[in-house]
Amino acid sequence: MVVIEVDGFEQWRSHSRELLKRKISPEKVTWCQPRSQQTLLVGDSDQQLLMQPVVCENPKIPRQFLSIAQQVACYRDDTRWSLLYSIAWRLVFEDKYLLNHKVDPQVSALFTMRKSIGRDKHKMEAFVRFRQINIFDESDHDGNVEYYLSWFEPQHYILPLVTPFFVKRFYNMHWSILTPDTCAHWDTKNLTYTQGVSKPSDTVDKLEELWKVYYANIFNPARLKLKAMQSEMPKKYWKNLPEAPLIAELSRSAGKRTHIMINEQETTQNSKISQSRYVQKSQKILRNNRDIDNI
Amino acid sequence: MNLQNKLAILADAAKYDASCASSGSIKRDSRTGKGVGSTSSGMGICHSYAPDGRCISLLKILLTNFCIYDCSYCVNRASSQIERARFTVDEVVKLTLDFYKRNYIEGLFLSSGIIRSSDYTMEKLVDIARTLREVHHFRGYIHLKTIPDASSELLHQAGLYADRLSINIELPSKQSLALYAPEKNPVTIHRSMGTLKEHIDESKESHQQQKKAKSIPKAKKTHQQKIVYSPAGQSTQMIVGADASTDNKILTLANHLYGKYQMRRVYYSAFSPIPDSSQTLPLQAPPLLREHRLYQADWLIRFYGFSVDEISSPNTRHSGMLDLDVDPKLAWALENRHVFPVDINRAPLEMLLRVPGIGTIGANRIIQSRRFKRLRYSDLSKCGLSVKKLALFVETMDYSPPPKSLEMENLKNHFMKGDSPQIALF
Ligand code: SF4
Repeated sequence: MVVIEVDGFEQWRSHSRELLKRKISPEKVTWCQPRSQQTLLVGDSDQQLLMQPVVCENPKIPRQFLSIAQQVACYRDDTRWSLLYSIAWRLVFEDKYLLNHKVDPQVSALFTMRKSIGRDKHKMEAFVRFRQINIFDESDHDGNVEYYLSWFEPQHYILPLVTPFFVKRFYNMHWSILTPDTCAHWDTKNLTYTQGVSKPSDTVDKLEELWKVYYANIFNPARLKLKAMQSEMPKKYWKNLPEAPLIAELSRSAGKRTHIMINEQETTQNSKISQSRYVQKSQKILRNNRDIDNI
Repeated sequence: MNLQNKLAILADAAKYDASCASSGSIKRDSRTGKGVGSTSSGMGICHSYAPDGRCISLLKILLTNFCIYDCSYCVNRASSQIERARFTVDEVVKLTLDFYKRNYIEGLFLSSGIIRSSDYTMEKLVDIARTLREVHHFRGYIHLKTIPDASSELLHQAGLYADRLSINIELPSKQSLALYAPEKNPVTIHRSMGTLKEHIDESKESHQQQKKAKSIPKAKKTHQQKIVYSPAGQSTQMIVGADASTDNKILTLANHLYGKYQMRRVYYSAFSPIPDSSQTLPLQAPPLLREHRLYQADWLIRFYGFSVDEISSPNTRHSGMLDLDVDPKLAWALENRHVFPVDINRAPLEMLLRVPGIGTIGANRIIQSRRFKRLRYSDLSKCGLSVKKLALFVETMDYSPPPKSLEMENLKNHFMKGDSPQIALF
């Protein structure tokens, strides 16, 4: 029995390599999160492992699997490492086309995990909200820097998977994304990571008011479909979305607003003749009046 | 008028346009050291969802809701007594950038009522797109609604800055257009679509030639060559339920538009009650279910090999309308029971795609998996398929539907109730 500590993809990868070279079967390996007190014990186990004879000098793992493994390594569940190792073992010693075998329980679990990661990534790219704050930076020549700050709670450990997206998009901005697991900071040149934090206190960004105005007005009350909305924007994300507090009131008043549009309009309608006069008049004004530029 | 009020009015006026897509552009980002933004060739991002279930991807606004036209179905028509507003070019530019930097949006979807003349209005829209691109190096997504009757020169310019252009066809028939949008001319709408297609094709061609001629030293490539004209193509929108057109008529027109102008998308928009609406149009809740069925049918025609008449034949008892009770694929299967059950282990892809409950992904998984072994019934759910729906329509190594089940008269009711016919039958 070997116990292996692992806290990231690269580590899992190098350990797995050594294990595969020695053809140590998955049942004999226990993977666990690193705990500082146990370092010694695991050091021993590492030694033991390395002393076993190498039977397969160059185990070949398909590249497709490695790129999937890199994502699945961010799955928030400790069983992921042993699943990844089992599949790697089977790819090397049993069937290199295993991944095409979609109905295999392990392969199907792998793809389910990848799908969940993919969705979490996509939602994070969508639902991160930055707040602008002004900070004083003495290294900058005019001192004041517009800084963009975000707090987000992803389901999985995906921050490193989504930072490339934000770097490309907001390359020329200073920003930080804080999460409970780890934080990323971009200063227009370098990306740095620091330890996770707990939720910081709220800062104020005036633009949020405009965003809420937009959100409230782009909604069509005659088409209320709360379920459809929630399946795409589940409640668990609401707490960090500035527009979410509006949802309750918009939904509640939707029925009444629609009713008014449908039923109470006839009373305010003009007769056809006066309406067409009104049309002609307003069209004429719009066509001729150059002042409209200044409205 | 302050910015908040303007935004309220001009977002409200824009919400009847169904499109909010930000997909299918080219790869582009701000790593050049200037500006902000990125786009990709893949699917877009929905940054929020309104309580109507619709994706909020772009800042969708009108430049102004003043309009000299009087289209009966439109909240902005000249005779409507709603409050009017107009943004300045700078206001739209700043709002787009401010929203973008906070990750609220993928970009801008700008449309406008027609002020003074089509060209004048179009010029303003192009101005905004140009300012975003050239002054602020904005690399996000821009969708411009082109004004019918705008000059071909302006259409050309619009495509140099926009990722997508669109012109709404509005109503499914010429007669309805004449009735409800008397100032709009179907001939010019089609002509503009044709012009856009030409520009898009030309740009694609020169792009490909450029790729072939990669050996030419970089310095020789001019700025002009780098621009891709409206890389995410063009789209259009049809209003459903304002006139009496059948679904068959709507889908036939859509199919024609996809073919002739290579539309990326035809949007169907259920005619929605609007404030101060015209008396000539039905006052009723929007036909959302019908709209949904049209999207499903549209999908089947584009990706599943169905023809328009197969799913909405004018000669069946629905006389050209889609069945609202069940989705169009299931409806087709119920009308064509003789082709079922389909053998999961032998059927060609085209046939698998016609089975209710099997989508393109599922069909491909089946084909991939059956190379390894003959599939059992329990393998189907592992391929991610909803067994509930397909139980009656397939057979596998160890399964076939209960005898005579496909002959049951009230089969449709089982599906409508949402319970599995399988449970009821066994
Ligand atoms: S031209 Fe456009 S904005 Fe003006 S009334 Fe017609 S549909 Fe509405």
